[in-house]
Amino acid sequence: MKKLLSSLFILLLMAVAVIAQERTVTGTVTAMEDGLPLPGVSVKVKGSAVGTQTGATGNFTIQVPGNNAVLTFSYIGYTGEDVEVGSSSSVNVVLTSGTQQLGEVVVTALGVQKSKRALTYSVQAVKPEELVASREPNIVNALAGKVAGVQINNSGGQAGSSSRIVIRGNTSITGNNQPLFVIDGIPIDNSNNRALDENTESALFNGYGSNRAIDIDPNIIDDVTVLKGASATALYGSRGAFGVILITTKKGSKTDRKFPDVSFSSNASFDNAFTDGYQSSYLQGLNGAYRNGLPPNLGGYAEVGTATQTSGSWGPHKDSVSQAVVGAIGRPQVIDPRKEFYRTGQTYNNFISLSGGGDKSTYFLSYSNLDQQGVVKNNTFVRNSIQGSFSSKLGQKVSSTTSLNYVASKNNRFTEGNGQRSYLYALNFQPISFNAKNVYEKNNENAAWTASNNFTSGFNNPYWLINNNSVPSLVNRVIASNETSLEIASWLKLTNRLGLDTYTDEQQERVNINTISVPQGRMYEAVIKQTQLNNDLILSGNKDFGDWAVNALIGNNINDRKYGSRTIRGEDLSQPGFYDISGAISTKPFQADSRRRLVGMYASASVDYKNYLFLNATARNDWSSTLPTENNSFFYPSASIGFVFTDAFNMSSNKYLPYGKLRFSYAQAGNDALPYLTSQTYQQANPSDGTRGNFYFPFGGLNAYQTGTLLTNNNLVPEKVTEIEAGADLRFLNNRAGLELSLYNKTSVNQILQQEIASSSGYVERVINAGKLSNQGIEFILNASPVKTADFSWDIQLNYGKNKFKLKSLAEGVDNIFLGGFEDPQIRIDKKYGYGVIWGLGFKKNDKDQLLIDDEGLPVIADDLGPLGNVMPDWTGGFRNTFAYKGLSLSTLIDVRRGGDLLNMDLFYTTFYGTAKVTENRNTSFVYKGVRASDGKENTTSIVRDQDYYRNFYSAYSENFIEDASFVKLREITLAYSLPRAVLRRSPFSSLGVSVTGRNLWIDSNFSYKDPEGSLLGDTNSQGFYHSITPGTRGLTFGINAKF
Amino acid sequence: MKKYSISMLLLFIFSTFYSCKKYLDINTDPNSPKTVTEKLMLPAVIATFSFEVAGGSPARVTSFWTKHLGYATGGPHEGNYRFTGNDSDNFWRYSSYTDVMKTSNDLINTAKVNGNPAYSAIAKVIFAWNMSYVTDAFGDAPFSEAFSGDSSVFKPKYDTQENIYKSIQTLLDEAITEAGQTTGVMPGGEDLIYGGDMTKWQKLARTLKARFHLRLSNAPGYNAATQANLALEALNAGAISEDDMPMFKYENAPNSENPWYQYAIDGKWSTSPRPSIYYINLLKSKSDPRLKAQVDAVADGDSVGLYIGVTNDQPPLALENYSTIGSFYSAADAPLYLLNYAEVPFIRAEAEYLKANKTVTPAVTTAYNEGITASMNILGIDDTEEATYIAANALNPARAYEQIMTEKYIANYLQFEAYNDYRRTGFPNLPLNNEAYPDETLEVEPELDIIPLRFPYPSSERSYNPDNIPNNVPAAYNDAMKVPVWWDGN
Repeated sequence: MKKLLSSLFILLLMAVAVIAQERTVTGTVTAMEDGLPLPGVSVKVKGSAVGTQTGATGNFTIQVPGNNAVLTFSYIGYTGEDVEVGSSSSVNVVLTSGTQQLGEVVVTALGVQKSKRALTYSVQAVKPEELVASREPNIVNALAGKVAGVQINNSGGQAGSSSRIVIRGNTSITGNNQPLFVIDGIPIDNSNNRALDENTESALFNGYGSNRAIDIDPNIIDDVTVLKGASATALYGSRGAFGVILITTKKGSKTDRKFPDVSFSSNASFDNAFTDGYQSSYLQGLNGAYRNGLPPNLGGYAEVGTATQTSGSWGPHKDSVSQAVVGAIGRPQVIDPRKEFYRTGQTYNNFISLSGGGDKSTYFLSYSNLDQQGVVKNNTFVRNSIQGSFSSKLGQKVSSTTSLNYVASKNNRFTEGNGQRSYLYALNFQPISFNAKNVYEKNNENAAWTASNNFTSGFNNPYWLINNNSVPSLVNRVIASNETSLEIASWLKLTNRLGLDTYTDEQQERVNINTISVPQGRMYEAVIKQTQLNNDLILSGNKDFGDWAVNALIGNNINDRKYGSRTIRGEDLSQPGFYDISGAISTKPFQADSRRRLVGMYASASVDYKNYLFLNATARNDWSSTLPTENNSFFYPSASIGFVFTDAFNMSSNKYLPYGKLRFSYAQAGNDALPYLTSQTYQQANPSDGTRGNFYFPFGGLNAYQTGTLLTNNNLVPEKVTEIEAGADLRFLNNRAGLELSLYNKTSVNQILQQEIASSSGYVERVINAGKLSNQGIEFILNASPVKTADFSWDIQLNYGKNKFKLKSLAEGVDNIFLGGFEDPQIRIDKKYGYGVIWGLGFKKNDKDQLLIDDEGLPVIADDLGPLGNVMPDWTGGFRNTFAYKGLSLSTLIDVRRGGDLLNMDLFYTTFYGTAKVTENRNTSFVYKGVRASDGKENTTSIVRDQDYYRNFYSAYSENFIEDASFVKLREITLAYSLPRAVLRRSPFSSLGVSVTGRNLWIDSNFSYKDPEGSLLGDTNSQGFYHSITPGTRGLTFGINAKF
Repeated sequence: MKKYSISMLLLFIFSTFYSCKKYLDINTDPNSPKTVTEKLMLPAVIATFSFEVAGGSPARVTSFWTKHLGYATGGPHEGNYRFTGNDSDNFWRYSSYTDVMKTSNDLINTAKVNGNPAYSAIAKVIFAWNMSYVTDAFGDAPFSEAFSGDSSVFKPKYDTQENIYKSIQTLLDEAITEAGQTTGVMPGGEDLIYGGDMTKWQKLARTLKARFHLRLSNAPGYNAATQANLALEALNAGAISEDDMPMFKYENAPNSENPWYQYAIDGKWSTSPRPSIYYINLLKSKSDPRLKAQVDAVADGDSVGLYIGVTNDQPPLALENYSTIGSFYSAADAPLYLLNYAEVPFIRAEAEYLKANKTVTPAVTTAYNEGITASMNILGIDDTEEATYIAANALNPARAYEQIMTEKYIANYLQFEAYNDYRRTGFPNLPLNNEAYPDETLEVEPELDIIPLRFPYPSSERSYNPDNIPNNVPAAYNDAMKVPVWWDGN
């Protein structure tokens, strides 16, 4: 440790003192279109609180420090510009409306601003207007299709559903693989909290709630930068092993007005669910005979026999209902149960901000309200966010910025997944001839198409469920941060950044009396608390000498994360609809706590030569509380180089290739363990057999503990990731087109796994360091402005990412790791078949991969479970086109995912019950393509795809439920109009715009439900498990924004 | 000023480092204890064994195969023999090898260190008993190398069933000895079966010894008469009486209820498991008064008051129209009998019969009648009905073995032991689970053309310890279930 410290100081001493002074810069801002001066343009010194606005004639005056200052010009309706001031004292800027330019300055690790040319690794920024334009309540979804090499998976169409983000593939076998979110330098939590653990209540039977990044209001974001590789994230140490999403919030700027700058926006969205995937021809019944599904006492009728109910839709075709039926009860009404069930979702989002400032201080205050009424009645997500940000100069040498963000997110969610409590478990099986809504409304009872006389068996009625049961959650969250800088010398700055992210998540479960499968009802009340305290103390210095410039910093990081949940579960309720815990006959408390701490020391030095050769080195050492004391320290270095060859070889005046940079980097990152994996414990005994019964302790005044089933490990070492990245940034044709290309190879070793083992060892899992995996990939971002005139412009951005995962080894003697699902089907990591393998029972094939067919014409069933598909896509990409004509702009974003499968486990049921679209071809004959197992000849035996085939063959084998998850989506299309300033001049508005956005208006996919984005297992590693989740939605948003 | 700031910074950094070690020393799980006493482990072992094993999956699944019950729902399911290595996994992986048996091992070790032989004795009885369930269901299984993950044995080898039974007998002998010792702490209420009465544990251990000696009556290389003698010896040393029946008393409170109630009655899982047509007909054909205790009459609909059984198929009528498991066994607060006392006289009857070279001696008849009497007493059948039944079902030398075993089968209603006896002796001569409901056709044929002879090895062993699984048992579950276990020499 001491050795490390001294080396840090040597690095620091490389930064030698030089005196720089504050000086005045003046200039004028004009509009590209008409050359007229622009008043009210915000001018800020990037990375500081210093800012002003242009006056009526477009002029501004601002104080800037030193020669490295960058001025940020922003104006609503116009593309912001970052301009390096250099040593000049006058800066004139022309702003272009609507379109985008290559940003020149980006935020990097620890909030350090760097000019894009100085970057030696790949980062990608997303502009705030692009986030807001997506009209997604969840910030993660708002990034979809916009960043090369980033994969976003939305888990479903419920308001408040989670979304997963993974950068450059899955780096860890069982780590969460999602990037660290950092707001204004403060790491924030993006957990998906569950009130009861997986052993008590499996997510398979409940689904997941929100990932907590949903608390971030996109309206307050000024910039999002994605740090992709290990070099970019090296200074974050183990926290950055999966990439970092850096978010900078809006700040105020100096204004001369009497009143603050007021910005206002209001949007209304209307969404509809995709309801594809069901047959619309065959009525409830069996063997072609109709049954109306009502119990005898409610008018039950059966065409044949006495059973009036069935779960099956194997009745007659709607056009060939027999006269006997028509005569007895009239012609059965046919509906589209899914279409009838979902309503038009509505979302209202209103935002207002006040900002401004004087010489010494600036402020930004905002309030936003998001009110989402989902496509399922009573499914809501409401978010209120208040943000305040205050920057002051506390004397000559000290400046301080304090931000406070309070968010209240309220979600009323429904249980999804496998099991009777899930509304989809009933709805997706509802026959087209059974009107569940009428039956529910008429009887006000939980009566479905399989109900018995007293409504105690069969399915739950989906309408009854959504009016009786729910899983509400209320999050109250405060993110507070303070950054105080002391200018020790003009070249040396000490910055302390203290941040607190704390929230409570109050979760409830309400399962009413008479719910089938929980006839006596149940509930829980849970309070989950997450608190993260983070402090960075950074000493940074920079100096130029001659052709050389040196920037260096050393720092210390302390991070403390505390989690606690208190859940009290009540079973057997006293009174329908009464959910105070006192009403439960039996209660059981659950408690879970964890705390982890991390201390880090880091240093970084950058040297550049003549602004075309850039060298960068970082070092970080972390000490983690979750590792055994003797192994808890881990060190990782990074080194990178960037070379602007066009400058070095004086090619910058070349018309075709005015700019070209090559870069190369090497970095290591470590990762620690989850808490409490180093010592053996006992656990409270809970005899149970899953849903077949439960026995709780304490019982009869006794408590009971048994040996823990996890074999812990006191010899753990940290996981290690090594990444090599090479890239090129090229610009062509007078900067009209640009290409950023990155290639990476990331190797992860010493994975910390909870590996399943044979329980005859006495344990179910053991904690080990094992495994080696790699992710190799290519990313590129292509920008072009094919047309750019005073009035009209056309901009293109194309991004593409392809990642190849390779599992080189797992633990000795281990071939696979279970990620999620059932035994059959499941999602697993498999040594031979990779990450996200869909595993289950399929059909036997010969060595030419031809299907083997038995003598009856049916595929031969495999002897054992095997790989049926893989959920990982081959590549992802986004394609944006923006057309602007004066104040009018049209922007489209096409999001593409190619390759990858998903497991649609709904088909297991819907092909058995006969509601799946595929069963519409019933009673037709079919010849399986393949060879006869008996003689190796081509199969010619045809089979009839009848009720028996679907129920006893098709629905029985997981291979039949694999679907292609590829899609091409018109994710966004936005038409926006900003009123010309000439019109506004006599109004109180400084800008006024309207827009209409379409979300997912067009999807091309082979998936039976159309939108293949969805995961019952939320944002966890086991993606691709599609089962009983609310389908995706599409919709339109109308927006207005104004500034005055 | 400058220098001052830098030295302050240095001080800060160094002080951070020196306090770092203590600051980071927080990796102790606040929710789980690192050590527990025997008093806390004993109820865990007993309650888990009762809920998950004696009243759990092995008893439930085999009750369909022995036709005590039928699983009245559309197949394929365990009722028509779709029972995969995945389905057998929980019983092996969680219930047995970890929850009950690993904890028993820990309890035995802790009790040894602390000098508390009484706790060790109880743990050994439960451990041996649970191991018998495992080997009876699966055959060969890890034993001598098992439970040693903490010594880095992650793929234990399998012991033969013969050796496992030798070890089980040894464990029970040790338990009997330790239960007789008076040193150390004596268990009290945390012994949820006998409240710390160690004499009863000795009796129970002897009863189990007798059961397991008789288990090997047909085993290759074993002699029925010898096994019968050994069983009688064990019983004569002091077996349980009706008052000593080991039972777990459940309570009528949520998550404290009887496992059969939670499985088949309360509707949280399914109400499809119900007495089978075959079983109801069997009792009816013999005018067996136990019918009304073992089976509840239909409570609702057109058939109120009647005894109507189910098959392993989708019933034509709603489930309320069929009988349920008798509330003696399935009430929320019904005790679970881990062993039915009637088994003791029936063991004696069979042992005497085998000892007498399969002839009916007075000792056989006495024990046989005692068995029926005990079974009826336990169910509260009155003496007149009892007498009538015994008179009508007197032993017939020509079919005495079948009669003894059939009576034992009725006495062992919902007991896993009925499945063991069926495989060992072939009695009663059970038909395949392919019956349709009256006037209906069978929707799903059974997966096997015989009654399963074992459980398929669990999927977790197939995944994580495949090389040690005996290769005479195929991986495909339906082939595996046709392979008899070693003692099933029939």
